[in-house]
Amino acid sequence: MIPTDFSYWRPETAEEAVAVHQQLADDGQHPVYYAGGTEVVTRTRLGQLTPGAVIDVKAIPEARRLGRDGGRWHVGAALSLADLIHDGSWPLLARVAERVADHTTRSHITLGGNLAGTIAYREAALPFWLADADVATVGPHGRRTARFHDRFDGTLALDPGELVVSLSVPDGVRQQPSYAQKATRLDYVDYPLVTIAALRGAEGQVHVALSGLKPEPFRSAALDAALIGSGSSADRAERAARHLPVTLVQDLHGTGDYRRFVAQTVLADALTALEGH
Amino acid sequence: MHAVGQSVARKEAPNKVTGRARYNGDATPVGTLTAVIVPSRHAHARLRQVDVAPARRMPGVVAVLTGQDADLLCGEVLEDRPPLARGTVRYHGEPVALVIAHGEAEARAAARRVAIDCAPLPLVASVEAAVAPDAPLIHPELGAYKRAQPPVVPKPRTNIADHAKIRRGDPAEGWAASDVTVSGHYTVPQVDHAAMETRSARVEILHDGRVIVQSTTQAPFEVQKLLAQSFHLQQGQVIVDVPLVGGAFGGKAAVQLEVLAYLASRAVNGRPVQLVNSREEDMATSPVGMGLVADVKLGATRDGLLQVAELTFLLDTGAYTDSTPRVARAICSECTGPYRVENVRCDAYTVYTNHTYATAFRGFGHFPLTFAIERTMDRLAATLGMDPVELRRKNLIGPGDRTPTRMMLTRSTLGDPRTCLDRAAALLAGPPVQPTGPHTVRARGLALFWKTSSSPPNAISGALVSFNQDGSVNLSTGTVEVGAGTKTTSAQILAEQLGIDVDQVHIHTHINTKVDPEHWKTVASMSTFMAGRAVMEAAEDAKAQLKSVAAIALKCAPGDLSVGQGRVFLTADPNVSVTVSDVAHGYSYPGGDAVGGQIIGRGSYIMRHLTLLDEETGEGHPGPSFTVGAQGVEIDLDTRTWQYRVVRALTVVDAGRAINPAGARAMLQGGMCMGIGLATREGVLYDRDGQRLNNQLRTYKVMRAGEQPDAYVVELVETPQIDAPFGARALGEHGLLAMPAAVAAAVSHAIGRPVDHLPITPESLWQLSRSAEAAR
Amino acid sequence: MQSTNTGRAEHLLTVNGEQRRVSLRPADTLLSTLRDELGLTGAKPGCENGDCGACTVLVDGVPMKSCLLLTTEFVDQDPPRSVETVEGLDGADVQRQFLQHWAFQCGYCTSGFLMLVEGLRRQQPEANRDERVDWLRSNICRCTSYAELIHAVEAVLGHERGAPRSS
Repeated sequence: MIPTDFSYWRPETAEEAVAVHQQLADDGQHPVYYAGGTEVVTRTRLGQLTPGAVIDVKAIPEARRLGRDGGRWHVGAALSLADLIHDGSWPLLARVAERVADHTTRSHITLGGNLAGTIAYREAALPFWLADADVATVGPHGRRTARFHDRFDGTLALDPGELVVSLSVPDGVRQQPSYAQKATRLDYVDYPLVTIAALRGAEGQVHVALSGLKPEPFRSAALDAALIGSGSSADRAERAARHLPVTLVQDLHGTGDYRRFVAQTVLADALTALEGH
Repeated sequence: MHAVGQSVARKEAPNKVTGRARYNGDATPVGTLTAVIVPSRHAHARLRQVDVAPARRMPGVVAVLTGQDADLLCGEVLEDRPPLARGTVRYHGEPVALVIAHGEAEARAAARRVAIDCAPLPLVASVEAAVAPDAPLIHPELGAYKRAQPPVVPKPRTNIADHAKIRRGDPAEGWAASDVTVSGHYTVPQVDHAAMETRSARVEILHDGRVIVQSTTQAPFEVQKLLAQSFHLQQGQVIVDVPLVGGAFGGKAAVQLEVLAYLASRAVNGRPVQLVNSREEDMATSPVGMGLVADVKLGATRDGLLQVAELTFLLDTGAYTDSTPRVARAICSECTGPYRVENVRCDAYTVYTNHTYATAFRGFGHFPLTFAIERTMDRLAATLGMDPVELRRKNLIGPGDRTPTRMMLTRSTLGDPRTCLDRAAALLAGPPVQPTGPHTVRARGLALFWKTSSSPPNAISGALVSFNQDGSVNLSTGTVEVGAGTKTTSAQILAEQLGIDVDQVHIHTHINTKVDPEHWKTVASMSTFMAGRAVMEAAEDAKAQLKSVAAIALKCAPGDLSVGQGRVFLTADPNVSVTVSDVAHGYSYPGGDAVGGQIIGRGSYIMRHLTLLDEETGEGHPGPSFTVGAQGVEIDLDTRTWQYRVVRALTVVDAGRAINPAGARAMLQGGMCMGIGLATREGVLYDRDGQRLNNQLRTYKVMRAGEQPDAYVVELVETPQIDAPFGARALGEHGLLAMPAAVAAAVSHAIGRPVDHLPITPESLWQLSRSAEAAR
Repeated sequence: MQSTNTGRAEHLLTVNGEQRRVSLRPADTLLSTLRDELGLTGAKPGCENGDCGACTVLVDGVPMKSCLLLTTEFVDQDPPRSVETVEGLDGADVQRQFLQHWAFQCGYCTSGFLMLVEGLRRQQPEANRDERVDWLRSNICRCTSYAELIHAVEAVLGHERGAPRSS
């Protein structure tokens, strides 16, 4: 039961979406883009969000694209996590996605919603953050394709009214060795203490991105650098863990200290899995 | 043809797999108004002003109530709780105002406009803080509260709402006789019932004076009584109707929303008003299960014979007492666990905190109690260097022994704990811990439980049996179908007694206090026993009437006749008979003239020989019998990550007699699963300001598929309880009782350190290992 | 561009193969429409937060949590979107197996689990044990031990064939 009222809009192009967003915003309607609904519906029910209008982006064809084009693999932001898992052609993305929420809810949650929503874990961003990804958006200032890296530092930097349409990665990235793991307090279906995505580069070095440690996803060049070198996975994980943020999230799922311990464990697991030792 | 002992499917089962089973929120008449609670955002504060004017102006709003509109105090044992806060709020989520509107959307939108101005008061965040000297008082008026259902012993000018005791034997003597003493300190958090159906109530006050209440309650007759008392009504004016209930676990035995819905209806000229908890409200505003802090000290001889037990329990009842003083006495009654201890000193304090208030939770205090006792028994075994099973066997209580309340036990009242223990130990054979990989171990743990009903000594139940013209039978009892299959069990008992097929018995799935005979409450696993006894008596009554009419028809004495398979027949010559349908509504002679009349079988049961516990010594008779059992688990634990999983769980319980074996197993297994959840993940959490942190199923974690053990083993021992229907003992709560203790035992073995706090999360084990390392 | 203004209006919704006229606000969830407008109360409001799955229905054959969906997404579509609720199951095998295996007690989560398992049967009948469990994790049952539900699924899908998926 959503106690407040809003109008509902279903544009068929991204430009149309942005235009209606702008118009509704100008009218003081506080519009929100709407895809899977897992955040908009629940937060509106609880009064944490009071949109005057929701703009459903699922009817925009390019936000549902999936496939190769020009040496890159493109994935629409309005595809559900279940779609990405079913496709399975980027194992790292599929493995990260299949630990978000639960099986049914993954048919609701979209890639774009997971990247740009309020729930801060944004696990689906991790693979893109590690790959040489691009993000295509349409905003009040028009279309823009940028390096994901340049627009994402744990939070996707979007202008008001700017809509994520799709992402792409170099086609070959999908075949690079990768590893993903989610560690929770105990339950399989729960928010992560730590989710790790790791990608092994052409030269063998491992890059990692982590969710759950800070209020938003985290990665660090210094941490990646500390993963290189001699020593066992456990030793290098311990060295690398020194580059984790000084203060980690402390909440009902776990303390900061415990998260640090768990992060070190999953770092070691990632190295072992990707290097075999 | 036997109906008892058969795994008959639930009568209402076909409706439950077609979406046609009706629960309280499923059939709301058009025109029903919606009431929504405005909860307190503070855990402890003085209310300065509640400004409802902006809410009243919202569209669709009919009325807004505050504590000013409700000058009464509620409480099952001690009347300490205003239905809407007055002057003070005492927990985060406490109802402060009630918004009544045409629809839920309007009511919820308006509820957000109620402005609550309050001044924070010092927070009492734990039972330890609550009993500290100079603790802020949560109820300065404690001494003035009315004691609705003694015994209850409040300590005015403290946060102790009740002090229950056991004083048995001479502890000093026990300590003197002891070679070894062990002690332990244990904590169990408050837990949430998390029934899948949230609590709800609908009230309409008719102009002929009738008050129609539709509710999810486990205690319709209690709702009826309380509303009549609180609002000065004749009890018969209040009609409580309860459809199927979507899980209860004790949480629906508390009367809360019914009072609010009554106030709401009264404020709108008696129009029907319904109040349905959101999940968030169900978790933070409606009562939870109590938390427990326990200190247990045991003394034993060198060869392991228990000499003395001293126990102190602090029960976290949160802001109000509800039934916790009764839980405290239930804990006292069985405070030693199923062991023979002559010298016992037990103090159970019901302690106020600024937490959500507590009510009954499946097991009525016995899973926390069992956790504390069984952990201490394991400590004693370790100290003595004795096998924990052997220690338990040596001290096991038996017929001829007395319980802490000095109740003398018989084989019938106790059952056979020894066989339960021996079978469970055999099923759990293997070393306490064994390595299964470089950093993985498998470990085992076992624990015992016992429990009696701790019901009021005058608890009653009734049954009515009537016949249809075709000879099929209608059965009416006062129990609520919460999922335990109690209605079907009653039907089986009736079918057995009348010698008919259970399909020939038609039950009322709804309870209506106006037409159904009173049953105390559908709690304490007592439905089979109490309603079953009433059903048996009703069957006998109906049979006697059938025989007396048939005797006329068959020209014999009633004593010559038997009833079965739809016929009343000469015992000596079954060929001489009439059908039940020939006599159940009067017997007609060939000429058309008739004798007899409609046959209505009535049966009732009242608890017998139960007594309240003495305020000083605890002496008394708390229940008709015990259910005893042993439970065990095997766990796989990773000593690198501290993650673990229960892979096998077993229960051996003295069921007396399983009236519905598959139903009994399902009930026990479900309890085991819940018990594993309580052991491993469940617990109500508050932040430092007393705000409830986990008021959703996303954050209050319960078991999901895949987290259950790979194997459940359930074995039933059958030592009949002589006075119970077909010997059947209570089983509804028992599957969970010793699971947390068994899991803790296994984890303790796995990590080589005692685990004394619930829930046992991987982080808690990591913290334990760290503190052990730091101490090294 | 399709749009629906704030406020109540009538629309067509296809439920269990029947076209139904419903009055709704754009903010109405599919769960509230099913229950309050159509009287299809099999789907239950266990949490209205997507956590418990008691409201699960099939949308175009796929299990979805109706508390997280806006009805307006599914109305007036050509071809119509298909919404199936427990009331649309008619003597389905999954219902028989739930009865047979004591896969419920209080029954409140049952409609959601039935639709989940029916969705599993249609979408992934060859699912291995891990995959079956992963589907079942979407919903909560507070009464049973889950073993009963898993046995019911085994009976519906047949015992697992082939090795668990490696990943």
